[in-house]
Amino acid sequence: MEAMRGLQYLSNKGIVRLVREERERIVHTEKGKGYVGEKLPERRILDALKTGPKRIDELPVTKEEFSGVIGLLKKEGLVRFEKGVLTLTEKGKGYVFPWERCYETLRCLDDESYRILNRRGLVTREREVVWYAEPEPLLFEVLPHVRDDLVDAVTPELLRSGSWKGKEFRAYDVVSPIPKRAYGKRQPYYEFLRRVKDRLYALGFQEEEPGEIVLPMFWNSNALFMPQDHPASDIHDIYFVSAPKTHSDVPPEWKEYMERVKRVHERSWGYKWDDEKACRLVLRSHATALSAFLLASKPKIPGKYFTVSRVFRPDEFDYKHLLEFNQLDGVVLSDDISFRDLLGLLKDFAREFAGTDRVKFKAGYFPFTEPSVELFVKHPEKGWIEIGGAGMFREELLEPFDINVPVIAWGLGIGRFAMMELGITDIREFYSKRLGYLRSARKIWGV
Amino acid sequence: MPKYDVRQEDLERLVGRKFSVEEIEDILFDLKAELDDYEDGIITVDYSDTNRPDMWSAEGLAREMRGYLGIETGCPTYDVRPSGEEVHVDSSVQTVRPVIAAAIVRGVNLGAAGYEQIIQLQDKIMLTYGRKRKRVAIGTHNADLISFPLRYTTAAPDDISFVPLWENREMTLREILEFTEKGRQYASLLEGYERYPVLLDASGKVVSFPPIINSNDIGNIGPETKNIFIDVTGTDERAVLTALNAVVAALAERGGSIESVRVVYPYRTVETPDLTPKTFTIHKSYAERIAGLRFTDDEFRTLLEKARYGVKDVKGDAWTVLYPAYRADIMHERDVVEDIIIAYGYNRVEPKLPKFMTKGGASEYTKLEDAVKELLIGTGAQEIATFILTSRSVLERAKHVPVVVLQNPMTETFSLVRPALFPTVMDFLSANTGEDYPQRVFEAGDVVVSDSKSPTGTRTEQHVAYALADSSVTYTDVRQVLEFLLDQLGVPYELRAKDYPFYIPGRSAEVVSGETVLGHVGEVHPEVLESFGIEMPTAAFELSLSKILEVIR
Repeated sequence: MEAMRGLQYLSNKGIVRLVREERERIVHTEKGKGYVGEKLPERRILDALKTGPKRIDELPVTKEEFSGVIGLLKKEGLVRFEKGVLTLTEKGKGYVFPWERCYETLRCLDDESYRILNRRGLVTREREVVWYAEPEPLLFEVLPHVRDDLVDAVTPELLRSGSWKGKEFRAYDVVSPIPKRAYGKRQPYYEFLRRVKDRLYALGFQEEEPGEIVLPMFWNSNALFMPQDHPASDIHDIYFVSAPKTHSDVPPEWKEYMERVKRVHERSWGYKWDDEKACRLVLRSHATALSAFLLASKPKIPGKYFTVSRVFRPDEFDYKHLLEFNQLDGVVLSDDISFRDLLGLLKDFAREFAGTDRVKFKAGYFPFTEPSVELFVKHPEKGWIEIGGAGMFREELLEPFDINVPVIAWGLGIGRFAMMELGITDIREFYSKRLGYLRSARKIWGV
Repeated sequence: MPKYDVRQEDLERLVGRKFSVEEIEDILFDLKAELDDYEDGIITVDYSDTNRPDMWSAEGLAREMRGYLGIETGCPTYDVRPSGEEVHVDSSVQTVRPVIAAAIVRGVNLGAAGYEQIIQLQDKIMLTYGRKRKRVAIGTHNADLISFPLRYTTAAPDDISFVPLWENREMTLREILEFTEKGRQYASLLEGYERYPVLLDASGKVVSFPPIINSNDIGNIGPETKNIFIDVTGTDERAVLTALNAVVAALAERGGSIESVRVVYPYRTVETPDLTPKTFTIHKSYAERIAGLRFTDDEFRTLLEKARYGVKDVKGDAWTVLYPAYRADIMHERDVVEDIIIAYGYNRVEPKLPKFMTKGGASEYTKLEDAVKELLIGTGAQEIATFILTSRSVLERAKHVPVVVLQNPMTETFSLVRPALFPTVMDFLSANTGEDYPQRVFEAGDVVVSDSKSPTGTRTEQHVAYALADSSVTYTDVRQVLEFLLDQLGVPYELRAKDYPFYIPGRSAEVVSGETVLGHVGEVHPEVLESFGIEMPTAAFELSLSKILEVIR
């Protein structure tokens, strides 16, 4: 490798010309290597028979070796094989196979010998690339100036002795290509998510601690005013959990809030609440589920909170859809906020995440907010695209948590931004299994 | 999100004005809808609200557009005349499908467009609002072919037969469930019942077999049908009545006059439909506070009327309004406030920013995760991202036991929630055996572990897993990384020799801090490597970051 780099350098300078030649070479196989420096089985048999006829089991070869060469020995008329006993013929007495002389180097192997050894699995042909360096006229000009009094590698010995003093160092080729090497770094999609968080900190949002993935339907949906067995709860599909088994009774931890939520549902939606359905275990299907926990945790008011959380939904798995993805969701609680503040916040998000002031608001529908709004931004090629949904939490939702100030709730579709920023068209690349891609993907650093 | 088609021409006739497609797109946008597609004069509307079945047809959309454009404002009213006809309800329906409501609409001019709309409206209501016919199913019939009174009762599967819609022979109820398309589609709704609901007319003819299918003669309406009988059955009376109101109000928009039908239950009688506007009281100051806008009384009245409310009475701040009976979505003043802002125009509202200041910051977990990532990247490791959902096969090969199993997975590949990161990290290495070694990788993320003390039997934790694969890798190589990490984080810890099924016996340890188990470290067992097709010695560790947070606090 070092030599090659040196020659490459000389070739770049026009001192030598590099010629590439591809050729075939005969080499030993793994099995064949075993006999280098040893006697081949045929030689061992012939030598052993010099002291008289032998039974097969008396020969210094394995069964496999024996069956590999016996045909050869008989065909050449070197042995006689009768009643399990092997006898050397006259011809066999001084016979030497042509390949025996050059088995180690394989230099003088004739075609027939190669054929025989190859069939026995001892040798094979291998392609190899050979580089020749041919002198260019320039070589003879520079040759007289080549010096052998230069310092090569800097070693501890050299430093201790100080023998470098007064000498020149041999110059390296510091520009020709060298093999690339990978070092440690962040995963590109996770890095993107981390930078999203930074933007929210800067906008004054406090990040929530991670939440539970396995939730009862109650915390995932009903606590957000999504009724049981009603189209308002069908806004997306949900994964149900078959193990561990769902409790048959309402666990004491959930009892208090469940009673309160049940009362509100029965009053407002007008249906009969079913505890069993509320306790069914599901995988968190939207990040808004974390907001219910936040409201139950007596948050500081006024306050701005957010979370980036993995959510799970049964869907197709293709370049546009994942079965699990990250949602960015948050809430703002304050005595003096209104729908206008909600729109102002969304406009800020559009500027921060989509880099545009061209926004449009559409009346939306979410079971947990009223009024509800969808945020659209103008994309230079794709036209108006939806990038988020928001609204003000319904009072029926806030009532069980004793929250009596307006609460803005919002969610942004960060998957789309991530695809744009990472320059990918297949969303599955977020979780790329290709180490080569992760090693070479450019770092996101904000410019 | 219900999507439905309307003909532009039909919509324009119903609204009483012509529009460009762009205009319609803008108006829809302001009315909670999107123009999903436009082709050959047919507009596909994507309407967001699953709670407003009255809006899922050209008639309802046109009614709302007239208000929005100021062509016709205030609460729509409908005259309902009693038809004098009755439906007698047998007590046997109580267990299987207890509720029925009915109406007759006479003199309607459907035409091709109206016919399409009424069929589409029924389908959309039954599918979404009706929860695939479980909660609500609707039948429309030719009223001229029915002899009243009707009987809503039940029959055994083989007792009764009739020619179902679009079929050409008589079939028993059992045969219908078995052999017709709709029968097979909805048979599960009647599973386990010995008797099925049927609606019979006075002459004993079958009008319909709810929620499955109508009869082919009575229940087959066409563009020319003038007098229509509607039955709605279901399990939830409020939903059944709302659906009936939405359908008859739509037919009334096409010139039909509505007649009510008396539904006689064993112990009570209900006259349906009841389209008397409902009343609701809203406070102007509340609306102003939520919207962040100020309204004069006149403005407020105009906005309410554009949103198709009628103002009945104003007492100071309290406004009593009327709203049409096909709406069942008004539960709180908020619902009216949203309609007022929609009438005002979402895009006319001037955005502002909250005045109060807050300090933003990272969660405790993110702070820890950042530190861990920085330290591990410092060892030259590449961070990786894997899915939280995994397969039984990956867990088995990594010798881990499943904790959370999904009931309705889309594919076996994603059918379990990972209980640890080790299996998904091994799976990652397994996909990269052709890449350059050494391979030093780590991931930090969610896992769900078993926890008998939690009400879900599980607990979500955040873990970190680190693996190093190279031609010569030993326990010491990763133990050094582990100790570097814990020392740097200031976590007191000790190692205790312990065997794990996925590590080589005698070459792994448990990492503990006091009595808290933080994780494990070891040389991966060749059996595990072989099952993942990895031909490089590999050593790894996994730690619970959630536990580390507990210990540090």
